[in-house]
Amino acid sequence: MSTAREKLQVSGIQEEIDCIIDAARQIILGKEDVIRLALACLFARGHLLIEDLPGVGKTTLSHVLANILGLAFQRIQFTSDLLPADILGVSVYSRDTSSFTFHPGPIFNQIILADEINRATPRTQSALLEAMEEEQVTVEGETRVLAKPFFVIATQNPSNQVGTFPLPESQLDRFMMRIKLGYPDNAAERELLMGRDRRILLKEAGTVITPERLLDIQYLCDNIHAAPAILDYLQDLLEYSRKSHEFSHGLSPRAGLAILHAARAWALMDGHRQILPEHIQAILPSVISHRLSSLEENDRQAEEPAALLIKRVPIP
Amino acid sequence: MTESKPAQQLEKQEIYWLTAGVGMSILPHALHTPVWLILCPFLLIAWRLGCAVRGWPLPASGNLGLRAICIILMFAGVISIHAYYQTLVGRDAGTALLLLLTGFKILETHVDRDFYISTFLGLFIIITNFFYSQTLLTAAYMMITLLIIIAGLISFNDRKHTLKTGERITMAVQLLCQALPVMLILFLLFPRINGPLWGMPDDAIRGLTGVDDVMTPGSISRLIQSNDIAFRVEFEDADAPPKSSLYWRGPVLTYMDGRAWRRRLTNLDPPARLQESADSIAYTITLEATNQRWLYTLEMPSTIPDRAMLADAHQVITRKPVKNRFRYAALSTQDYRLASSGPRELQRSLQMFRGFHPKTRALAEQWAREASTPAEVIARALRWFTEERFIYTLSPPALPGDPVDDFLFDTRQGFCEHYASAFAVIMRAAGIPARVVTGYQGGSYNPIGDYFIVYQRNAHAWTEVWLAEEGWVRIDPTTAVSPARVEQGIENALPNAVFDLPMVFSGNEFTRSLWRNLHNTWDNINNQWNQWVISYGPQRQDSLFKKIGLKRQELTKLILGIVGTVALMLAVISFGLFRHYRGARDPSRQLYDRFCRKLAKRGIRRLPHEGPMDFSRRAGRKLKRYDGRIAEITRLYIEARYGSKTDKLTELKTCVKRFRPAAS
Repeated sequence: MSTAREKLQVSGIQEEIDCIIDAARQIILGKEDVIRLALACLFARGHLLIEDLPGVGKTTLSHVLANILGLAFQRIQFTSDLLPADILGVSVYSRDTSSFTFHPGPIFNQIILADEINRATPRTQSALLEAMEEEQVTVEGETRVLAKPFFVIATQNPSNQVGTFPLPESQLDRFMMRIKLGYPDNAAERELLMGRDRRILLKEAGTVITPERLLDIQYLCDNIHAAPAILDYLQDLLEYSRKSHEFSHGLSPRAGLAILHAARAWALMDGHRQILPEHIQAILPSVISHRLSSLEENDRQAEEPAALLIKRVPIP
Repeated sequence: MTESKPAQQLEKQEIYWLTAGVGMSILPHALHTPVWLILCPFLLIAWRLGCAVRGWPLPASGNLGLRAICIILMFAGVISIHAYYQTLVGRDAGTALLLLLTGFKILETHVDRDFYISTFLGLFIIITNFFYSQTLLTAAYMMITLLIIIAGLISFNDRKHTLKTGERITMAVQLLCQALPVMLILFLLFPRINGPLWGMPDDAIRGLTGVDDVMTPGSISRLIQSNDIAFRVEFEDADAPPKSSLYWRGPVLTYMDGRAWRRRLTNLDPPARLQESADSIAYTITLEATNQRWLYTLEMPSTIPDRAMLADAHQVITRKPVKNRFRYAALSTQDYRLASSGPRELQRSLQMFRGFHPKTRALAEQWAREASTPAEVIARALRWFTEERFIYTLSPPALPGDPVDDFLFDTRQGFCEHYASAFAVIMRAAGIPARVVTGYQGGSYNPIGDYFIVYQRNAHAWTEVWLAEEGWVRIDPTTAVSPARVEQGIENALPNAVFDLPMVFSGNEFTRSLWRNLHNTWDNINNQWNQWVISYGPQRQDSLFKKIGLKRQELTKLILGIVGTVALMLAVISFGLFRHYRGARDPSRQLYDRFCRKLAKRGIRRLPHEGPMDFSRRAGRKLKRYDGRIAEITRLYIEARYGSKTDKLTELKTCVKRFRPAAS
């Protein structure tokens, strides 16, 4: 398998990625940038957090990705009475075999949609987040490896809504990206209103690539070249975020790795075999927006931290 | 990438820093500059501050009327300085001129360049303060001023306001600390020459107070109010002589013109050196600048300091006036017999102008007739001072007529110079050779540093008379009137005169001793500062070199060593600084910068945070004709800089070289 992968060419992959984006665009109207970011996150083996108001299409997006990529999809609706076992699975005594049989939970799928993750208790949240980090779960002393590819899309309502347990910063850090969908623009909205039901479209949309191919893409991502000049730029960004007084605290090394991986995926999607500064700048807002916050006292607080960071740090 | 900073207006806070720093450097000049003159720079600075705070128009902003006013003011200032000092050069006038023009420069400051010039002027003014005072306090104050000026430079270069005020000062402290090793190396090792590096202007040593070589009534009592230090003495042995025998010999006055006693440099044979005796007293004196040629020694010097000469009447003379603090060691003996250097000396010690002091002469001649030996005359004269109602006072009445007759027969109130002068005149009139010796008497012991401080207020005058069997004998007529002066010191002899004891401390004995301790400690610190920092000269440097095994002959090696060390330090620092400019060293980056400069000339500047692809698209849209070439260069640059292979460099080089965008 690995020898075959080494022969892979970026060029062939490029068309397939375009096909994926095209297919997704049919259903999620006017949100190509979000689709691209979500795909980049998937290709970079990261997990995605979508934060927005109900009804803007968070669930649809995850459905679309699962459908198009041919992945096993499971949605978990997070509620305040959801228990870790509801996610991970339980062992049930079977009379036929006179032994305990493990009934895997929804986590043993390839794409998990953790809907409204901030409505569950922190204990349940941690069960999912630990699984995301380790890519394996341990239930009743037995360690079970999760599926590959394994991709979690969590959605969260803005945390000022009633009945939510906001994710602590340390857990937000487990998500490679946090994106917002936002309202569609005028044209897209009109098309949405005129068109057919999204759910029917979703069922009609066929698979574009196989899960095997997805693993190939992920492998290619890892081999995108990151030149010393790019690492310099990345380090300058991290250092500025740590030394400057415009942010409450700097970016962690994990954030640095996330930026690098996401930029690799973005470069691949952009048809490059090396990361360019633009690729870092493109993914930076979604990768750091949940990790970095501007200080309130700053009078330029209207500016997004990522935009501020990009503006302040010259490209070496 | 490196776009030149446009000549933008200075921000308010930059003006605050600048005016604070320069204002602090000017402030100490208020101590010795006339009020109208010191107000000029401060008013100009205040004007500039007004422009910054209130938004008044700047004189440099192009308002012709304001400019004319400034030019007229400036000329008026320069002319006033010339009128006041009668010159524009020298220490005082030169400094005044510098202060005035600095004020105008600050008023004019509105772009970056002005800021730098004003800052450097502030640094220069710091140095001029040392023309006037080199004390520890001055040095400490100037250090703080330097810190503020450097913090100002830091905030000037921190336009993005990433640092808070405290952090700027911390950074300035860090910078100064980093400079400390260089400063120490230069201070300790830089070859010292004898005397100051440059001659102090003449007016710097004018107006020094101290014992003069002309003594008129009132010339010594004038010094009594002075708390200035004449010199400090360290005795080598543990127990110093008693205070009453601490006569510090200065100029010896032999020539009396009827009113004033004067010193005369004569070509008399030098006196025989005194024999060293077992009880010689070894001591070291640190003399403050006097601008005079004589040195003070404890009576009587047997071994005189290096580079000094024993002149007639056992005066110790240097080759040049003492213009800087001078440290010398000497040996004295208290068991001596001072021989005469010859008949001419005795003859001179009898000379008087005819017709002066008739009453005194008559009295003295009568005494001489009635006495059988000179000793009897001396005793009678001293007894006369004691028995008649002579008063020892700091504020004697003026003597407009014959100073000796009027004092002896009318006022009978006088200070040591009155008694010494009158006594010597009596002796001469009675046919006994006599002369006046001036100098200091006594001193305050500082137990903290184990040394004596001799103040200007210890100035004293006494006499020496010639007795055939005993040689020159010291007679202090003041002791006849006020024994306390010599026994207990000037402070006790004149209790009404206020010396340096502040009112707050004069309450009881405890506060008085507290004050004495504080005063002694502070003087000790100053003394150490003088000895080790201000007076760090060739001798001290030599002894340091010996300790670390260097010879003065190895001067070239030394200089090379200093240059090498400093260069090494600078190299280390620059390496640390330039490590951050990795990008600039990359050849592909250099070529790309060249390409960007070419586009910048056509008005398309790459923003520092703009990636190559973005810039290429933007430039391509603006310069449609060169769309393809810009894209091609960008592609090659991306390959060379961000790709895994770097063989595109030559291609990039040719492309950039050939790229000549014409104005669209």
